[in-house]
Amino acid sequence: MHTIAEAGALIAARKLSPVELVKSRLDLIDRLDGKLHAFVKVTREEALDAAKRAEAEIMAHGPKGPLHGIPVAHKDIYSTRGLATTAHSKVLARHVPDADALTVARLATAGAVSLGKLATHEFAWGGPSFDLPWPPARNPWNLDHFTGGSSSGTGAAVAAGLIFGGTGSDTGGSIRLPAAFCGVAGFKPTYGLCPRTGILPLANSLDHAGPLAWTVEDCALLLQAMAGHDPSDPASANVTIPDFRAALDGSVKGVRIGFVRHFHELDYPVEETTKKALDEAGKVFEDLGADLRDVELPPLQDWTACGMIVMLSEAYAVHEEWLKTKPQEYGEIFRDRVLMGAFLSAADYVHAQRKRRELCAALARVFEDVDLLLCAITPGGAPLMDDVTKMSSFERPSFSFPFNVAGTPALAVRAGFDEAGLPLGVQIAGPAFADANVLRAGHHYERATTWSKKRPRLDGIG
Amino acid sequence: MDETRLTFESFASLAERLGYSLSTSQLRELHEAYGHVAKMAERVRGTASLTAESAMVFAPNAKARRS
Repeated sequence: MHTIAEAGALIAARKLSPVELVKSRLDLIDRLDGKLHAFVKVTREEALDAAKRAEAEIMAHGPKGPLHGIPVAHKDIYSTRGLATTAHSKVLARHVPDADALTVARLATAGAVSLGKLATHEFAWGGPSFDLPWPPARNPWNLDHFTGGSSSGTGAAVAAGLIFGGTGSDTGGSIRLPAAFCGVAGFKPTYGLCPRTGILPLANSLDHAGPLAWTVEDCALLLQAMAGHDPSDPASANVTIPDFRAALDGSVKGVRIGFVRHFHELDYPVEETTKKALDEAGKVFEDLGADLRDVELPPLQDWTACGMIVMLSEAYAVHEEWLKTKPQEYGEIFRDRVLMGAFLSAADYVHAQRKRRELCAALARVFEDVDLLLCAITPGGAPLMDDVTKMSSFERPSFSFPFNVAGTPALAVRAGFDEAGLPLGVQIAGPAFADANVLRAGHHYERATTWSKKRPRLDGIG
Repeated sequence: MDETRLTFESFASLAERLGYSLSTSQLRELHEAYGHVAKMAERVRGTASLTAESAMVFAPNAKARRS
């Protein structure tokens, strides 16, 4: 199994056919997805047509870029023209957009071939649920275990090699958590770097679009196509987009990395294997020449409280009418979680947004002394599907929320395996618009370790 | 329970006023979860000065968003 970068190079050298590549992924989907449930819709004929067009263009003119002919797929909250975009919910089962999300269109323009729509937790928050029109995606490392969410189908499909990369969204960790649990790379860019145009919202001020792929380099290639200003998205950042692939070169020598130990040692103590993976990641960065030092941020509980109150308030506003008029069309998990927003006041929301400004200022102060942060992303490997409870989001702090609250870039990258053989991840974060620096650090960490060499065993799945 | 949090009876009454007809068992489950949410709401209150600004700032030149 190649990465996007490798496959792109082979396609450019005319040693790999996009048609054969797409056919091989469709065959794998046929073999595995009956148990993985990563897809809610496979667009076989459209994908083969697109692959044939890509192949003809490449033969005639050479590739447009590294994504030309590469099989991808989209989380089912990304609008797709003429193709149902359901948010994995009965509520939108018949919702067929008349335009692609801008990021979907940009990836298509870059030549990526979409194989279809991917499972998500309902409306990007309610899962894993068994009372929706489609079953929840399963973790390819062990089907009994949780994928993380909400970009559950993207994490599972990338890990199993059904696609080379895909789209995700991240409101409180929904790109980075499935990346960590499924053992892939997932990048939440700076807020506004990728336009949300045509992506169904969960909570507008926290929603980020971004990629998941097998490697950090592949995330950089996908991000290159997805990023860029869109004046129709009021949160879209009008900034120059760097060459993310080129920025991976160089080194992390001399980069000051703040290790947020208190997140995983005091605020939310993690499993021993995760603690060891974090310590080893710190050591890898030191060996690469980075200057690792401990830093202190406001406690994880403050970030989580702020993020959760904002998310509940904004998500409830989106769903209030449907919750009253057709509650039976929601799955129980999403419905009951988002209903919590009904019991918050306008003052609660404003207090959370004031707190958010304080927290962002505290993070900015830390970034005066360090370039990047290293911290936990999950407390351990993926839990059993049956152990994920409806209200668990409210019961414990989140390692991912700080960077949604702050809108700053954060990457989940694999950092080992637990005793059960399930992947472990760590999180690398940076200040706003230092996306390229975060990706560079993740890329060099990945190249200095062997974790990305190991793929899940798929022979028992099909 | 902290006095800023709703008792079960107040919670059930508020749910009804909001237009939700929920079963007693659903109300009990939601009220238990509400305890965690109310704690979070309390956590974000109180430290800001009188003039502290929200992170969300009104922009008078905002353009419409394409859906």
